Amino acid sequence: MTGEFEHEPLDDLLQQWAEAKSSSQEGLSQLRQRIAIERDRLDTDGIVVSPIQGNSGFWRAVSLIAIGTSLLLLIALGLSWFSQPRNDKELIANAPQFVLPTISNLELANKRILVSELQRIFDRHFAWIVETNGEVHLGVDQDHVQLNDAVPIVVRLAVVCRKTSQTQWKHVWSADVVSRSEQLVELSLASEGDTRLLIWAYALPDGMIAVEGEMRLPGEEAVRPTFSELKKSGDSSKVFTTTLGDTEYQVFQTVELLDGRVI
Amino acid sequence: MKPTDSDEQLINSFRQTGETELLDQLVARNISMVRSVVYQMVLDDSLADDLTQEAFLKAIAGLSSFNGQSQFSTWMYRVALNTAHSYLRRQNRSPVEHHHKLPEPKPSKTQIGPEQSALQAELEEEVEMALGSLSPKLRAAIVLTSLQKLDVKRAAKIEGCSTATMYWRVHEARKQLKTRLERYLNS
Repeated sequence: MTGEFEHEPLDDLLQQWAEAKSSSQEGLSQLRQRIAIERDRLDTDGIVVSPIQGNSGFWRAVSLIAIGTSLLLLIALGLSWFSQPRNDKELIANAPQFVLPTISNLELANKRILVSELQRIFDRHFAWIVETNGEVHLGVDQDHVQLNDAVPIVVRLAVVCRKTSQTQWKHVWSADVVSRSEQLVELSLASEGDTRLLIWAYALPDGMIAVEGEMRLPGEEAVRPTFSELKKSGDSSKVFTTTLGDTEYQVFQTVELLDGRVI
Repeated sequence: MKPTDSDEQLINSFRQTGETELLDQLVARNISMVRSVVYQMVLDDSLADDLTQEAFLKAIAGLSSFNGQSQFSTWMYRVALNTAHSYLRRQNRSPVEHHHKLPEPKPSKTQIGPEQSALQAELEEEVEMALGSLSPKLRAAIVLTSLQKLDVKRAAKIEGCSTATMYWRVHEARKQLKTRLERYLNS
């Protein structure tokens, strides 16, 4: 260990394992030769093409199914959106102090149903769902998802901004992400000004939820929120704040475990 | 090129001369480190070889982006870990799948009996399964600090997170490993 953590028997065990698993000199020598041969295949611009695996046919098929299903879900989501008792966007726009984006029991119930249906449609290929600005985006896995004991996690993100001379917050973007624990969610939305979202959440054995993420906001390329948080289910907090020119940006986050083990 | 030249000097020499032998030398110096990091992330020998190759080819192709502000080894650690992370994301292998078979016995440096050999193989398998049960980021934290023996600050730089986050990840990873390996740590 490095001295920053006390040396413990665990370190001896890990070192013993690492030594036993280290590659032999002969193995490394063969690997060097492989690399030298492949290096010669690099073109003059230094572009490497060495995909490990791929199955574009599968993804084309899945994409078509996903687009079709997204349209159906859009209708379903629209209905549930209007049935909500409160509208977060209005709250955000009208509140001098931003209202934390809590997730109501009704919304959780709707998400549970939605995820359950997607699970049924996509069998075990379904991995995540992101609802943003009235649209639904799906993530599906090429391989069957390995079921585990962790319940799905809901992460709600809300981005607001205001001029430093003003008190009213303006809604910029929001999203609800539902994924299974430890699932990396990567979303790129050309239709929303090249908005990008990368989020990874997982439930720890003690009930805490770790969430890490990066974002690129619509029309705000210079603002790149990143966050790494540890929360209890139901917690809401501000996870990022920055000021760019005369505009202040804040990102709020709420996490919930989606009980019911539907993924 | 002198044997005492640093990796950074070697890269500068390559930029000036274009001699590919210098790249071979760079690979030779770092291959053991890269291969071990990648293996410790993906826990599969054949895959580790493929990803080590991929990492070096990426590094060579992107050598122009290495600006010398950090050590080459730090940059190479980052390339290797990014390659492993990318693979794990693509394959959705978190936690890493295990086939629950005992590893192939490797020649031991000291002669040990069959019982001891079986016990050692079991122990290695358990450590591997415990590492495989960690999420990729926690696994990377333990690989960099406990196995590669880097300090937390450098590990944080490689993983692109704050030092505080890295401290937390190492702490959490160690806690989970101790729980999984409790039986062996107490014996």
